[in-house]
Amino acid sequence: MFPLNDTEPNRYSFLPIMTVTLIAVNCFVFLLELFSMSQSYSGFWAVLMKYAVTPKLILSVQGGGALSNVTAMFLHGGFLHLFGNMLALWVFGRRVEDACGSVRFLAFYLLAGTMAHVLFVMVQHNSNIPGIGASGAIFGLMGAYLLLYPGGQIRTLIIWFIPLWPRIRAIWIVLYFVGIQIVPAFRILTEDADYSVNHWAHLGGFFSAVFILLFLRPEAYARYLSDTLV
Amino acid sequence: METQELLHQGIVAARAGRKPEARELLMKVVDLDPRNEIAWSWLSGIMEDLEDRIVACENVLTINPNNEKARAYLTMLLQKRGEQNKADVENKPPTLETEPTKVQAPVQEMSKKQSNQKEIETPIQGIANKPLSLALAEQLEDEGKIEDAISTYELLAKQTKDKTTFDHIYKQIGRLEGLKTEKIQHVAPATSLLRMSFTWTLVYVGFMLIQIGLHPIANFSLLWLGLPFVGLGNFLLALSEVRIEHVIWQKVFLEDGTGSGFARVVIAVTGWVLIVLPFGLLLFNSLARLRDFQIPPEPF
Repeated sequence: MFPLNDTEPNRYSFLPIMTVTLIAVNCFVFLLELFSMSQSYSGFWAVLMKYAVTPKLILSVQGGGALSNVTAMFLHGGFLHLFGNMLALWVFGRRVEDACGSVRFLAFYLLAGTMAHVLFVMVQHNSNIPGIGASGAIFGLMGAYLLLYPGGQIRTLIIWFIPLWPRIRAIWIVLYFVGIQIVPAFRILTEDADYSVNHWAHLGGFFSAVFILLFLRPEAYARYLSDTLV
Repeated sequence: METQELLHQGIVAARAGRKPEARELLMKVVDLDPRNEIAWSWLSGIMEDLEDRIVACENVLTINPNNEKARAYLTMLLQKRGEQNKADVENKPPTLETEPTKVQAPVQEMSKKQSNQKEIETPIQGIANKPLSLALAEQLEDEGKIEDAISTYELLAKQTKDKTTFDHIYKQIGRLEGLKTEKIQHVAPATSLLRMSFTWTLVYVGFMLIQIGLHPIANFSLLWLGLPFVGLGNFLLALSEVRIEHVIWQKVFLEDGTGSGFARVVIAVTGWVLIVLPFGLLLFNSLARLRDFQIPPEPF
């Protein structure tokens, strides 16, 4: 299931400047990563240790701390990781930015990414595995989208024998993506299972969506309170 | 879909240059609400046929005879038609008939209704002594006096000669009419100010928690002293955005009301400085830690 686009137009602004900027920065950082990897693996390992969020390092107050928290949001483990995240950032970020305004949208994005890392570090406090990716912040955007546009519909590509691209209500897409985090997340908690996906960071980011109301434009907030289209 | 939503989408499409889509949406609006002045105004600019433009413009004047901008535009369109007719007489056979315009019927109906109506009066209570300005209209909106704000904008629309200002005013009127139609409840500026004062503050708290290993007591850091600065900066930033009467405008800038544009810019810049400084110190602290950091061995 790949969310492709939200076909509704923006209400307050024409261009989602910050969403586009974040996508560009993520892509640029990925190119830097590729360059670093092409030099040597140990060089890339050093990059990860310095600029990713590693629970043991964070808890022992080593490494970049707050800086690593930000840089980790812009590092990705591969092209598909980057592509999936950027697609979701575009689909869910555009209208959330419209409701917040660009600068507050950036603040919310950073907050969601930070909350994702906080939960990840708290739950997997013994882990030496570095966490990277924008997905924690993007799950925050998904949660925010769901709160702001509960009736929103997303054009989604579904490949089930044949490719289909129906418009699906956002709630089903978000529930699907959050739902597939829950079982693995609890397996990590109860069985200390191995993982390659940062499920707890995703959940942490998703729960940060409760703060979205603080970040809305005054008119969008009034519309939210009036139970009408934000 | 509701009229206001269609109108909004039509204007968005028109602004984006998607004229056929805009025409379709705005025609739907005037089908649903034949007295929608804003929709007719936009249609007068985007209809393909000159006759349709003229009819749309006449509709605007039928709804609001005081719309000087529309009157000037109509004069221009009629002149253009005169020139075209002259050219047609010279170049075409006299048997050719003009097609009837699509929006003619509603115009005539509206003209009849309008002729019986009194000219719109716009008394605005409580602001008689204040000079008419966009800031006043915005202030009235912030106070929840939507009707008065619309009336103020309408008065401003009659006075303005500048096309950009006129478009802005019309956009605001359309937006406020939309708020009225959708029954959007008023949120006090003080609530907005309080709400928006927490954005960067929360981000700073999150960053600090990560910086000190999620243990504020065991790993106490003087960087927490930056929190009140970020909070104050965030408050000033919100104050520069939300129009509210505040003591700061009087005490610092010796101004009444909700602060001039200059005062707002000064407050916004001060806010940003107060926010950026603690974040900058946090960054320096992180960089210092990275400088001394020993890379752990690879586990694989």
